[in-house]
Parts: sequence; C-alpha cells; structure tokens
Amino acid sequence: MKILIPAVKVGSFETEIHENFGRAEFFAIVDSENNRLSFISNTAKNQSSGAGVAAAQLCVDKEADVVMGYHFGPKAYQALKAAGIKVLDLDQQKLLKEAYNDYKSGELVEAQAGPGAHH
Amino acid sequence: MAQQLSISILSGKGGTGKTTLAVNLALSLTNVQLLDADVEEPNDYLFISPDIKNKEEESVRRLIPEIDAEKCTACRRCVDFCQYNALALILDNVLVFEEVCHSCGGCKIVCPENAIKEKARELGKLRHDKRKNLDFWEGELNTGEEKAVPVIEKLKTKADHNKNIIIDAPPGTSCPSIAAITDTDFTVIVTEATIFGLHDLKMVIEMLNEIKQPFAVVINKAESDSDFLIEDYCNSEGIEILMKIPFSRKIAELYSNALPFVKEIAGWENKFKALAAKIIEEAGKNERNYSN
Amino acid sequence: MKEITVISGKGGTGKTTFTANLASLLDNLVLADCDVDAPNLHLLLKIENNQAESYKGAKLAVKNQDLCINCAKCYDYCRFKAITAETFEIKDLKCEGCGVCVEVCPTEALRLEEIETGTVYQAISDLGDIIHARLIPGADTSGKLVSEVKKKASELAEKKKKDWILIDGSPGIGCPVIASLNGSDMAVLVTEATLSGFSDLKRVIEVVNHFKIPAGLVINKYDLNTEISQKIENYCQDLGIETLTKIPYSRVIVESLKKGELFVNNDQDLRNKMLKVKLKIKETLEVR
Repeated sequence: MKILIPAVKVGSFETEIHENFGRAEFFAIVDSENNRLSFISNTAKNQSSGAGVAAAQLCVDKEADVVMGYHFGPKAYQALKAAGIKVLDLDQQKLLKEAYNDYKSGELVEAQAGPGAHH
Repeated sequence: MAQQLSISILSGKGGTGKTTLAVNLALSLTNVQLLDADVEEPNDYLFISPDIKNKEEESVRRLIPEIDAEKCTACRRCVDFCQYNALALILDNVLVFEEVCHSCGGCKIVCPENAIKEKARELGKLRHDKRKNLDFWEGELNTGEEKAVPVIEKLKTKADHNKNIIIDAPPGTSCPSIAAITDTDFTVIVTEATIFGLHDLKMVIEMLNEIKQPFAVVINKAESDSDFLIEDYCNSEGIEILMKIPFSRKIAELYSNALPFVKEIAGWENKFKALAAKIIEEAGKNERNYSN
Repeated sequence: MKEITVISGKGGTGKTTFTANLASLLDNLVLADCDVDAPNLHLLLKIENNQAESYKGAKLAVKNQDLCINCAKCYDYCRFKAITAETFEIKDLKCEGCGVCVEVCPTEALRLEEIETGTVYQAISDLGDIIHARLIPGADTSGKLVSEVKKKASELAEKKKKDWILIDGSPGIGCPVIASLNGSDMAVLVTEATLSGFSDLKRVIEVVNHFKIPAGLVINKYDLNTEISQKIENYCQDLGIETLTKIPYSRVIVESLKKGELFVNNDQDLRNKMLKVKLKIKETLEVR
C-alpha cells in the first residue's frame, strides 16, 4: 500500500504532520510493503485557487492507495474518493510515525468531507 | 428639474452601520429604489421586507463546463489549462469542481476533441419586493459559491433610473465592492469614530481615489469627544462629512430588533431628507469638476 | 502549544477588541491577524520593528505591445470585460488571470504573470510577536494569504517556544474563515445580541462544526437585547457550545477603544470576566 501524509518538511518518521492537506509543504510517502519513507514537494501549495483539488490530483498521479490528514475539503475529498483512494482521518497524531502506527493497528477511521477553502 | 441620482453606500469593514444608513435613507425618500448588493450577508431585508424569501425570485446563473465522456481522450489539456484547479483528471475521467470554476470558458477552447460543452449553474438569487414608495431588490450568493461579482452585476441591471437609487455595497476594497459602486454617481462611506474606523476608512478612500469615484463620509456612533479622529483626517484631505448618527443605546436597541430608527424616533426623517439633498449637492459639484 | 481562533460571522461584533484584550492576559504568545480585509489588531498594540514582505497572490495577464497585431481575439474571448475595445489594453481590476487571452493570442503578445496583491508583516508588540497582512485595493481575499499568515505565526511560535497562538480570524463564512480555523485547537465565537448577529452566528457555527474542535461563545453587548441574548445562549448550549462570557454594552469599552487602550486595564469587572474566559479556555484545552 502506498500511503500519502501531509508533512511539514523533508525528514524522517519523527517529522510532524502538516495541519493542512492542500497547502502542506510536502507529502510523505510510506510504502507499507517495506516501511520505506520518501518525500515529495506539494506542488499544489502555492496555487491561489483550488489547492485542495490540485493536491488531490498530485496524490492520484502518485498512485496513492491511502491518504490521511486532519481535514479534507469537500472537493479534495471527492477527487480522492473518485480515484478509489482510502481517505483516513487523523486527530491526536502529531508525528508521521504515530499516524503510520495507528494505521497499521487499524485504529484510523474513514474521514468525512469538511467545509472547503476554495481559494 | 429633479435629477435622479444613484448613490452607493460603502464601509471599510462590516458592522459599521452601512445597513443602517442605506435602509434609513431609503425610507426617508420617495420614488426610491434600494438594491442590497452585500450579497454574502444581505441584511437590509430584515428591516424592509422580513418575509422577502416568499416574494418574487430570480435565479442568477453562470456557465460551467460539462465533459462529454464519449469524446474525452483524457489528454489533460483542460486540467493543465485551468488556473483555478476546477478540473481534475481522475482515472481517465475529468471531474469538474463547479464552485471553483470562474466560467472563463478556457477549457472549452483548449479541448482538441470538442468534448467540452457549457451548462448553466445557479450561483445566486435576486429577490424583489415593492413597498409603498420603495422598490427593493436584494442579491444573495448561494452558500458555497465564491464569485459575488456576477450576482452584483445582475442585481444592477434592475436599476430603475427613473428613481433615486441606493446601493448597499459589500464592505471592503475588493472586487465585489468595486463592482457595486462602479457607475454610481456618488459613494457615501460609513465609518465609526474609532481608530479601527479611521484605519479602514483610509483603505476605502485609497481604493475610491484609484477608481476616481466621488465620495463623502457619514460618521456613525458619533460622539463629541471622539469625532475629531475622523474630522481631523477629513479636514486635512478636504473630504466632506455629510452627517453624524450619534452613539445611542436607543438606536442600537432598535437595530437589534431590525427596526429602522427613522420610523421610530421623531426628527430623523427630515435629517435623512437633508442628507439626500446634501448628497445631490456634492454629486453636482463633482459633475462640474469633471466638465471643467 | 495551543492555537485559538476568534471568529464572528458578522463584522463589527467586537472580535478584534476581544482578541487584543484576551492576548494581554495570556503569557508567551504569538498573535496572528487573519482579518486581512480589515486588519485592525495591530492598532491596539504598540508595534515595533515592523518588517514587510511582499505577497504574490494572483496572476494577471500582461501584454507585450510590440507583438500585438490588434486582431481583437483577446477582446472577443475575454468573459470578464478586462480588455479595452479599441486599444486592447488589460484592465487589471477586471482581469481574473484565467489565461484565455494568452491561449487565443496568435502572436504570443500576452502572458500570465504573478503580481503582488498584498504585504505580510512581522512585528514585535507589547503583547507579543504579531503577524499581520494587508491586501492592495481590488485584490480578492484568499485562503492562501490567510494560510501564509498562519504559517508564519506557527513557525515563529515553534522557533520561540511559545505556548499560545491567538488568531484574529476573518469575518464572514467563506474560504478565509475556513483557512483561519484550519489546524486550530479551539474556536471562540464572538457575537452580539442582535438579530443580524444571531443569523450570521448560525452560519458560522456550521463551518466550525466540521472541524471537530471545541468552541466557546462570547456574547457582546448582551444587555442590548436580553431576549435575543438568551436565544443565542440556548441555541449554542444545545449544540454543546459553552458560554465563555457575556459582555455588557459598556461605556468603558467604547472609551477604551477610542483611545486605543485595552478595556481590561480600565475596568476591574471586565478584567475579571476576561480572566474567567482565559480560565475556561485553559480548562477546555486541558492546559495546566
């Protein structure tokens, strides 16, 4: 499974999760087959409009199976779901490893679409 | 010859008394039309026509793309073209995110397969009520929509130039405010005599000067010991102060129940009539300035 | 570190005044003014060392006159009436940066360019560091600028090991409000006891609900209309939103604001009310 998580910087499993999906600085990519971690720049973050949709497009293009975050706007959510991507809700987790561990132990629930920031 | 005038009412931020001024001025005049162009939070109706939601209604529409899946080859040209990220290519299907679309028509132009048509989508409503002496229209932006300007422009097509027109503009200095005041003869800025009021007043004036719009100021919640904040600035800039509405608990209480104070407190109707006369005079001055 | 966002729905309810007064009672904080249309928070602070950074928030069409052959295609295709009829010049205030003119121009005389639409400031104040911003007239507020202000505030708070980020949020219910709330630990709703205040509050609560964060209610000028005030309180209670305080229609607040002072420094009762607010926020967020 290929898992994408918004991240504040290029780092390690100790790196913090970014609060924002569309405007996250980076995405961490975790391959659950081998626990390998890599990072990509979020090319959507500087869009003045529709950053959420553009970030979702990026996740789709990177062939994510799972995307997790604190909050998804309705459009990003719709795009991710349309691609058959599993969208999981984070809450108390602060670090990438916490999110990943909770994912592995099956503790994460499906996210709901929230209100969106269109611009 | 009585000249019919269009006046826009503006403020630097919300909550300074724009609605109060627009509504009370409208109710003091005859042969008048009030257009509530504060389409994100139209509140004039509470004072004028509380049951307007049951009155005559008209839809405001704009064009958004519709993808013909048969013709689409998933070439991605439209997705890459869209500056607003209103399109996404998901598993060889183009998804359209209608709220973010600016209706520019570009995706249709760039599509090499002729797979994009356009359809109309409602982004807001106009509502109408005809009261005695007062023709009232409001525009409202649907929740979730971001583009206020087309609603304001449609609302302004309802302007009846045989009447005096009052437009309650959205607060601030951004595009919707500019759209509402464009082509009005004169703008009245409502401000409060506080440091916030002064700061936001300056921002609005900067914008009005840029678009060369004539204007004057009304001070709301005026008080003898603080009006100097606004007065000193206006005097130094040569800006006319047309009226002061005093800081008054009575007026605030009436407002809290959406009662126009011009109908509740004696004497105010004449003051607003005098204000209208002053506005006509100021607007006239300005015309002369232009013709010279 | 905890992040609190103060919002109101309706403008003019006292959101900024409340924010500044609360800020003076919180220790070790960073302030962020996300009300970029009417950025007033800094007016209540003593600002020093204000550093400006230009903000590019939009793209506009730009024309190279040398390449223009007056074919009028840009004029024909532009749906925003942003091209003048005779000289084919671009009206910046009308241009939405869609790129259609760039696409249809046969001579590549047009291109899209990022333009400066505002300024982001970082300053030191008597109440703590503050990030604020302003837009140039005619520029549209965007969630992007609000996100930029918040990002700078949290970087600063992180670096200086602050305990609080206090945000003066955007009015209304649109995308800037959502961007103001994104990532916050708690929302404080400042409303007033008027019909319009109540109607806008209901709309903003819908937005807050999606964020699954605790919210507290502040009713300003509650004694202006105790009936509406009670309705607001009941409405919020049913939704699990606790009343943090009710502030009376007070001369002291008016006078303080006129002088650019904080009302907590001018009235002991009001100060006690605000101290209670602080306590309730701390309880809600389980701080100390």
